[in-house]
Amino acid sequence: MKRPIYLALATTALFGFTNQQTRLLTNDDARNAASVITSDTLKDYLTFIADDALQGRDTPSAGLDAAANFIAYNLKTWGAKPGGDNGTYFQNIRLERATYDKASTQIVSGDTTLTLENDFLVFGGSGGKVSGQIVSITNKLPQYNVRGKIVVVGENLRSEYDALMKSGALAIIGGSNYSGDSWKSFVSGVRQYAGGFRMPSDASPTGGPMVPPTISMSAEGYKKLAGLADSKAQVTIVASKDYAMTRNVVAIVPGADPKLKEEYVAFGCHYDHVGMNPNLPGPDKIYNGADDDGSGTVAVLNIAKAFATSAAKPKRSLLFVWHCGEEKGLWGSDYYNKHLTVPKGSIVSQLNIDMIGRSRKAGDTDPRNKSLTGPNSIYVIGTTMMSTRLGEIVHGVNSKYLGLDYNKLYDDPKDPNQFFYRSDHYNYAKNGIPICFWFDGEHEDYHQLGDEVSKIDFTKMEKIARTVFLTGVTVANEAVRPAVDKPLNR
Amino acid sequence: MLSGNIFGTSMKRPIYLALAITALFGFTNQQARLLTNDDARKVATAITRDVLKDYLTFIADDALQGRNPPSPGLDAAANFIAFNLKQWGAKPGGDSGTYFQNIRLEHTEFDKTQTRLTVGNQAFELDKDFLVFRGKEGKVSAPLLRVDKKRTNYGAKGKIVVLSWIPVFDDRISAFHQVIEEGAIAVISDSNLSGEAWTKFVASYQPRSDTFHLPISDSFGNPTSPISIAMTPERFKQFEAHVGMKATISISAKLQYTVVRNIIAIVPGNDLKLRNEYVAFGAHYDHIGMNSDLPGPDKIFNGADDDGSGTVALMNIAKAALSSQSRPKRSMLFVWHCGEEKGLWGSYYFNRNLTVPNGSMVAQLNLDMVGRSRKENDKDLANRLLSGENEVFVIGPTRTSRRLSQIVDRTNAQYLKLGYNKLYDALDDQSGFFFLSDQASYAKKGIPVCFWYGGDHPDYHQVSDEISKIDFAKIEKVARTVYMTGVAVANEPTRPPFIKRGKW
Repeated sequence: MKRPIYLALATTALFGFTNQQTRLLTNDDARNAASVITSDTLKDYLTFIADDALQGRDTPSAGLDAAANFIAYNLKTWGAKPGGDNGTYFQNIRLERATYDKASTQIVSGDTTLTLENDFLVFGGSGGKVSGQIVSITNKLPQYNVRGKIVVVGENLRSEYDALMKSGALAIIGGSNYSGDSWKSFVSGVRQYAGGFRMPSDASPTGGPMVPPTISMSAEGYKKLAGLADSKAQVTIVASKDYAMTRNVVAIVPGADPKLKEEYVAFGCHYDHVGMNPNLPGPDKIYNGADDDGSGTVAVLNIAKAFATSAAKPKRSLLFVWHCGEEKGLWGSDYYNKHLTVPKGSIVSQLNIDMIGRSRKAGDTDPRNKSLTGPNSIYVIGTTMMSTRLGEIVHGVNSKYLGLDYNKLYDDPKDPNQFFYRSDHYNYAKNGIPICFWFDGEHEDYHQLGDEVSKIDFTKMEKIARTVFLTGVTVANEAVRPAVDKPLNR
Repeated sequence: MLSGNIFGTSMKRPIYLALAITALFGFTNQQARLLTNDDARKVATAITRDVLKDYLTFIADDALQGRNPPSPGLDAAANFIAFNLKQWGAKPGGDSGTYFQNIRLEHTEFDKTQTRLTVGNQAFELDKDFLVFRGKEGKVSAPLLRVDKKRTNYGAKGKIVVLSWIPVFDDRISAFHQVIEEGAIAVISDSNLSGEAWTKFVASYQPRSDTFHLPISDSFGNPTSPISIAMTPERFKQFEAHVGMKATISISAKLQYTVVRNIIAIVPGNDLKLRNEYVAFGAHYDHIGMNSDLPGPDKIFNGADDDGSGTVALMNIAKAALSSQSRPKRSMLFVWHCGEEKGLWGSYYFNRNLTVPNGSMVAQLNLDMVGRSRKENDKDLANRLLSGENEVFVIGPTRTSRRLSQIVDRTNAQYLKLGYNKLYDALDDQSGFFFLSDQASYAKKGIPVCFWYGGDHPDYHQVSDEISKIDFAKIEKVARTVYMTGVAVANEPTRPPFIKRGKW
């Protein structure tokens, strides 16, 4: 018998609307939703994130993993959608560590033998043995004709490394200013940095293509080698590799508009810091990074809570990425932008929060705090670049809401401090995504042991986090995504 | 669950300061509605396998490095528990309005050449012949006293006690405690370990900068901190031959300190009078850390069952209790103990430094290893001591309180009807499980106890005690039943009388 059509319809009405449209969170409603972001909640999170128990959240480390697990635990509690690998909140990044064999890794030319650590360090590239003529490059050239050669370049030509890497050179050997004891401490510093782990040059979990090794010489070693220009040399690199996993934490809150929810407003920060140093003389050995970037970590967490626990959602979806390895060289955002977990081109803006927890008190004359913003002020960076429309939204939302003092001193790619290039938003900008970066300014405790929870201005964080939340809602509700109308050039 | 020698063990390096969270919320004196034993069935449904799994995913992850006391991983676990308690609105029950009870551990760094033991014309060497667990800078000389069986009085005051290897664990421990309480200057114990076993034992104490322990004055109320030394059986025999003579112990050492924490929360009761009494729920959140010398890739003892299972069961019980507007008559006290694996440190310390009035705890319900089950068709002999999916060992009520025993059984009979295995609850039980988890510290204070325990299994204290092997449905059943039992005790008109039965 044929099923009566009205029954089928009724069934659909009851069960068929899994795709049912969510209620819209308007820009006005969002003021109410923002009240989920509170100084008390931010403090609860930061008390966990910046505690000594997490040992300064170095990349990679157990403490960093505990921070990631804490973020993921909360996201799950609120029902945020996992946005990482295989339905999890984590995007895994495989770091590699090359351990070079000291006995066999060497540069030989005639009677001269230069050895690992005594004369040089290897910074990457393929292993093996290559032979070729030594060519010394001392001037910047439009093109380098060095295929099959071993290239020796001066310290002043570091900016040419990218071009030389693609030139067909067998190896690229650079000079340094380190000699004697300063070279020795450089060698030990490099060994300890991130426990020796690095992002693979092409950060694919399956490994990269063949690339010429890059080598850095001591001042003495460089002098010896430069004297051998035009003779033949043999470069032998023998290394074993091991790996460590580190993770970006990624979550999504789907938007309300059936079509626009395919696009994302991204919120970002970095949850790593610079770890600890057991050799410090005092009792405190741990860099807690309460401001850098514990403040951004917990602000984005509270923003995610506000979105996830609200029944109404803005039109576009919200993407939250807690990046790892920012302190090591923007590792997490570099990797994320090369391995997007959402479709390419679907991120309409990235709003980055890195250090928003400190404020300069009235009467503070410490010169180290001279560029720190006050309790009601914050630097915004990026609003005059890339997208006129995003700039209008950022400033428009603020002036109609809490009226914070938005300082645009660094809002310029030519800014001598280069802050535009110094946090994770830069990797989004490079990908053609308009960005805005909130930043409180450098202060006495930047990358110091004193960057602790007790010094955080949670009221300031609440104000900024609420404002960033509202900015995100507004971008997500825009009819048209903010256009990139200004090219990004350095 | 505790194993092995109680005299000390190896640890990881701690570098951290005590954390003090100031509770930001106040407490109203307003009377909550009464939660009856029947109402509690609905509240118990807030305890679910999914929630338990979310917690254990955090607690038993490699990131916490096996939760050794003391260690940053243990502290991260403590902070996670405290974070959740605050979100749920639990009342802090620790020091100065926080969820933490700070316990100061000390560590003694011995100078190998200056630390000596001499008797007659014989000299003994540190590490080769003996190991110092506890001791401080200085030189003591005293007559030797032999102790080789359990007795009520040894006359140990001012003596250096020579403690033979007493095979029954509990007799050995109580002799050790007894001579210290009498005021022995030092205890030199036969370790029963020789050759390679001794070398390994000594190695497990290296490097010495990692050996933090509970100061003995905190454990026994004895301010003179007696010296504790272990010896190889061969050298012990030679040493023992000098009983009656004087021996000299010279110790050159530096003391260092660190802090570990119990986590304590309270859910106030509804009855204006009875809420000054507490039903205590306990578990231990520490485990045995990691060992970087292990041959395989896995170096971390995750302790998912031991006692990750009890830790998360307690969290979910606390969450359920707080999710209801109604409360049973008496208050509920939740204590996550640290250092259980080192010798019941946390429960020992708590019972000597109570954060609730002395005598106010009416019962203690302890959960240690309730996450594993033997499947029905499992014929593996190695799992023969493990309880089944609907079964669990209950230990303690028979020895401490008939009334508690009745409540425990009645609650279960009227609820999920789990198979309660009483094998280790018997008065003549030789397994010693009654003494091997934190409930022992409460029982010794005259508090009726019940201990839920899943039984021994091949992954006990192995790196394979992992979350993938956990039976979350079983934890859910046991945790719900423990919660129901706690509510029933909390609603009793009179507290269950403590009646000590059996020899202990």
